[in-house]
Amino acid sequence: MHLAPQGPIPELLEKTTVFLVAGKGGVGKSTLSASMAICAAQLGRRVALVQLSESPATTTLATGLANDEIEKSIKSDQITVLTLKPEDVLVEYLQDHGLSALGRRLISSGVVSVIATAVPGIKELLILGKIKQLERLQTYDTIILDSPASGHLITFLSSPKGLGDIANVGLLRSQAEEVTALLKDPSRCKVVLVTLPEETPVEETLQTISKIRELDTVEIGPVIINGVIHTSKINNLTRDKIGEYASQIPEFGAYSYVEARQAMQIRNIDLLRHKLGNLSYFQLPLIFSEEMSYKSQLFLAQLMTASDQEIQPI
Amino acid sequence: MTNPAETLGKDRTHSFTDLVTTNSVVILTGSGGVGKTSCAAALAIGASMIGIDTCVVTIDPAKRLADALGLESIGNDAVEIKTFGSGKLFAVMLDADATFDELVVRYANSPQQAQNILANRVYQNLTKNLSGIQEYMAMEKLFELHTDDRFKLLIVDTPPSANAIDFLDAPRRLIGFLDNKVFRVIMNTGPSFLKPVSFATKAILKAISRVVGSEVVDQAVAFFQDFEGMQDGFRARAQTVQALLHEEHTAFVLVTSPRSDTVREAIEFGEKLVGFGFSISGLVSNRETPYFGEPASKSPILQEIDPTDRTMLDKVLAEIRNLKAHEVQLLDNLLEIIDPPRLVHIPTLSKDVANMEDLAQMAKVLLA
Repeated sequence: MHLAPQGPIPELLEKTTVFLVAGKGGVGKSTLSASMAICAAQLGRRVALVQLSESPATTTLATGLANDEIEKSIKSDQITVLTLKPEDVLVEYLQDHGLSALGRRLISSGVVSVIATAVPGIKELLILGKIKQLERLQTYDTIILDSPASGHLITFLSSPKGLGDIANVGLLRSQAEEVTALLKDPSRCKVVLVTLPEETPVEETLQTISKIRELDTVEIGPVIINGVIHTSKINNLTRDKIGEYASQIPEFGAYSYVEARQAMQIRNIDLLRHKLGNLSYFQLPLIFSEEMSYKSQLFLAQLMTASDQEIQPI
Repeated sequence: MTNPAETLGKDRTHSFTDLVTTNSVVILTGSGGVGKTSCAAALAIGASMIGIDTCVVTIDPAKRLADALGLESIGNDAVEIKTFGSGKLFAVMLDADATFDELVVRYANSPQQAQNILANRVYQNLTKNLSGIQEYMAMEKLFELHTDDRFKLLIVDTPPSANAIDFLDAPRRLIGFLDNKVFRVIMNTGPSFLKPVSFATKAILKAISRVVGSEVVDQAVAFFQDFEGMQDGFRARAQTVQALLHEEHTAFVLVTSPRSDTVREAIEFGEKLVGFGFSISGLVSNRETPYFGEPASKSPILQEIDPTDRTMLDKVLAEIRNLKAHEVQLLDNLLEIIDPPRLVHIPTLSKDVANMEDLAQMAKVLLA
């Protein structure tokens, strides 16, 4: 059964085709990219999940889909995982432009490394160019790029502009213009930022947002705050007991610990919310499971479609 | 109640005290997001507290960490930090661009040559775009500080990189880049056109020009021309820096947190490190879930708790215990492969590291 589109992600999927999912390492970017892919597939879309190197989350997803016992609504061919290695994309690009014999030679001779340095962002531009090509083919309704860590994201986003300025004659110029057009159009492309409610990731997310705004090349979609702890309310009597016996009763100790971490998270979430201005955001819960399994990816996908941010207390 | 994580590797030392007293360089490595920078700062504070004059080299610390160290900002030069220990404490924040500029100025044959290189676009992009350069500059800075007699111990926080091994390979990559054969051929033939340019080289140049425009190619050629004569200096320097890593008093500490993805990366990294001929002197398992003991189901205090609250409390403890058991399992797997002589467990803090006291607290755990 397909879920009716109602939550933040389905609405987003209706409006936009390409999503660049970005965030600091360790915030769950790859897992949420996989969950978004599931979410889109559940809505009947044909999805391309694009990664730049192999990631465990994607392997989990692929294995999960192949042996699916839980989620029958997705056909196995609905999600295509593509791994775009920058060097391969470059060789393909050269081949497409009649330089086939030279492609590999350029790489083995190290010339590519020199050129990639002389022309910063060439690899990034070609990856985005490839994404643009995928979008144009219309084979996929939704394209999700599990982007590299946020520092690198800025290199990505500034690549067309930088290259347009440098390569004023070469073939790259038209490529740069087409990619700029893709990024600029929110009906075609948006950035989704993933963060954790902790100091460093929040700080980095805010920095990334201000850099993206400065570049003014792409619209920022929602910010996803991942790993949010929620505790149920307890009555005052219980609270008093916990305060008194936290160090003696393990049940109380564990609760105090979780609650203290939650308090820290709330401070960081408030700071983030305050600075986000009119950017939308939504929260996903911390999953206390042992492994980021296919099951958790499905669970997160489900939460992405929930109409209100109903987060299950642990 | 014994923390099951602490029964792991019971033959190991659970302190880095002897590590900081017997080594002159301690390099902290590990994947991003495991708290490497805080660990480096804490270890440096700890070492200074026990009387060792120490310098910590950090890479892009969170602003609050600079605040925690009581600094307005940290620069590319070592600044002294006030501590309450008997040893001195210095901090440096790596500025890869500035470090590379200093190197160019040092090895240039004339001020003009240095100026040309610094103004070249290929050069300007080198630190940002050649993978491993940031790491190499961290090593370079380390080498420079190594000879600074204001401190006896250097604690180095390595840059967060997709591939944590990049810095070990960085000197080789930089040299490989500077020695590029195609460009050297172009360069040598540039002024006279007398030497035969191979067909392949011409074809390559033509192809690149078609794609990126000839201006870029000219810039690249200019860079190699400007750099001419400096390769040897750089190569020698890279080799010396590399040698420092292999010195007896240089130690590697692997920082990880007991989560499946970071442990997987730690295993991969540990294996590569060994492959490069290094050994891991210590492991920090950071952000561990605390151990709260067996459920106290029969406790009369718990019996009095409101049943709804009780159900929730039981569930919270069960979840935390599950998570802990999984962490212990992960760590156990890691220890079987990495097998470090020293292992320190640091529990997840319920607040962000905010000041010198927090770091000193962490230091106490590291140097128990």
